[in-house]
Amino acid sequence: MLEDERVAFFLASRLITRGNKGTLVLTIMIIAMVFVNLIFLPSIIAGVVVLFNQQSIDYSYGNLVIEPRENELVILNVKELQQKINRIPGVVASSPRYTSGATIVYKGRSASPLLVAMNPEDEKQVLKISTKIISGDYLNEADTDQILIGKTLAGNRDQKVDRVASLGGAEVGKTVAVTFINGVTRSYRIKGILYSGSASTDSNAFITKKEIESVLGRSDTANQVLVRTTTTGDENAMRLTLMQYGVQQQIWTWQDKSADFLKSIVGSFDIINFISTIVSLIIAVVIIFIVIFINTVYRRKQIGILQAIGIDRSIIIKSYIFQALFICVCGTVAGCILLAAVLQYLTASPLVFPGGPVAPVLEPLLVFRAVASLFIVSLIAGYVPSWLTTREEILSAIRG
Amino acid sequence: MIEGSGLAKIYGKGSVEVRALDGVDIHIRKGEFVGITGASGSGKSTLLHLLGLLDRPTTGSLAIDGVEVSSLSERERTLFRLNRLGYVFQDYALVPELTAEENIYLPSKVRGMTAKECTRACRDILGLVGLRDRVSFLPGEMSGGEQQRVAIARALINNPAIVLADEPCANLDTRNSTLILELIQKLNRELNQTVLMVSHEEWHQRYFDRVIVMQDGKIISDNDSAGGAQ
Repeated sequence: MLEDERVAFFLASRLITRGNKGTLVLTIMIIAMVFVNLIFLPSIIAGVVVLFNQQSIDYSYGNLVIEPRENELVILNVKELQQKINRIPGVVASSPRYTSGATIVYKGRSASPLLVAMNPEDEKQVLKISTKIISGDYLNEADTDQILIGKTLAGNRDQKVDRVASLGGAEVGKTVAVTFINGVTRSYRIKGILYSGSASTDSNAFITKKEIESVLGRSDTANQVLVRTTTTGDENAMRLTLMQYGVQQQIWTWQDKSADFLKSIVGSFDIINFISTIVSLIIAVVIIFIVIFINTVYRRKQIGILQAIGIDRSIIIKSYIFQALFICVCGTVAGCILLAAVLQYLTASPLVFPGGPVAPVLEPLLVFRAVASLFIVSLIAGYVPSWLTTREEILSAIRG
Repeated sequence: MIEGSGLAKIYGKGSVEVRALDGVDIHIRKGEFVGITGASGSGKSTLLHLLGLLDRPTTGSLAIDGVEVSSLSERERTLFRLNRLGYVFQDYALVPELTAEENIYLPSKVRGMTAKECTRACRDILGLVGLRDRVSFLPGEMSGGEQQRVAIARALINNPAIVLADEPCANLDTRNSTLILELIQKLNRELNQTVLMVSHEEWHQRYFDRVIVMQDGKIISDNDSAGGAQ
């Protein structure tokens, strides 16, 4: 049995090495590009997912989010809770927050962002907002009449440029009026503008927790405590640890909090990716099929003669399958080289997405899937045309 | 060696029926060099195709080398062609991407011979057909006569019981045709190889031991003194 494969391989190797090199190289290059296409888009999507995940951790949630128990609106005795959390092994820091709606007015333009009240120093330990100030300064613990706003909320003087409601080009040093949920209105000087790349964070406004407590007349309360852990990825285990240490509030991981958002993004990308993959595979199957089909039709007489001298049909079919696989292997190798160059370039110069720079992420499963798809496609595209041609009567094949 | 009885090949049906072969009885003995001649459309190639297992008769029975071949499956027929028949085609029919040596030993490789055995057998046969210096030449680098000699060597490599040649000199000039005919005659005599050759050239007949003349799908003349065909 193996003898047949040896002969088929022998025939295939000679037809490849002594056949038309131009057609061969062109076909290999096309398969290489199909391979790149099979991997490129999913790797960009993976990069986007990594970016959004990192943004969720760095600018929105930290690793864990503690919220009031069910049927409670706030967390009481936050300082004590924070101390308890900070002592737990694996916790880097925690930051209590008070988030609420508010209306901000600037030069007659108003917006209703999420107003986040936090301890600036705690927040520095948990999130990276403080590193993303593009104008002015970050808040200090003692700030009571100053506000930090996101770039999206600040907006542009030209309203047409803004995609969401904004303050129409608010700048550092200017004063805005903030109306809180209890109806109190206070004026604040814009201390800084931040741009993190995270759409939600850049639409928020930030004041100190000390200030909101004076507005609301509460102290030592919060409706969120963000927690930064030493490692990312073991949030579920850390949640259990926190529970074991007596944290009785609701504990969410950053994945829980951003699940809906990420699901919708990944879901949309998956549809695009699916269509792109199918189109790429169809292109690959059609190209290999055409090349092998033209090859077999061109060699129809020769195939008939090979059968006439006693070469079994299966050997001839296998020789064409080997040729298709050779094209597939070379195309994959060339594709890998091409892909490595593209990835290297994009890692050095990432694509800029609305959420920030995206570098493609190459997952081994993705590469395996692309190679396996091309392999299967090559088998089909090599088998079908050679099967069709060798099915013909020997004499009519010989007569051409 | 070959026993054919009532061999017929009919194409089409009813009013468009064509009897390419019309009830031929044939008997070929081992070691004979038989020429099959006749005008175009007389059925000589059809007969050769049936004897070479490239086609199946519509009716009749055929036994080659003691095997009733009419009942063989397609795969068994392929194996039979590989092991017991050698075929020489009009237009050489070599694989252009294979060297002379590779073209010749291809059928041996299928039979499972090792590379060393293939090369040895191939060199012997190339010596026999006078092409030892063309071992690594591709078909495109050889003349028509040389290519046909390679094709003959390929037909002989598996030491077949019968060599079937379908107008092997049709594309050759007289000098090369003579070379080929002399070569086939030599192989027939030295190796006691049974050879059936289709030809429409009258001057070829002097090389044959026996000449079968066909017309309208029937054998109209056979100079076999032992009465091999009717």
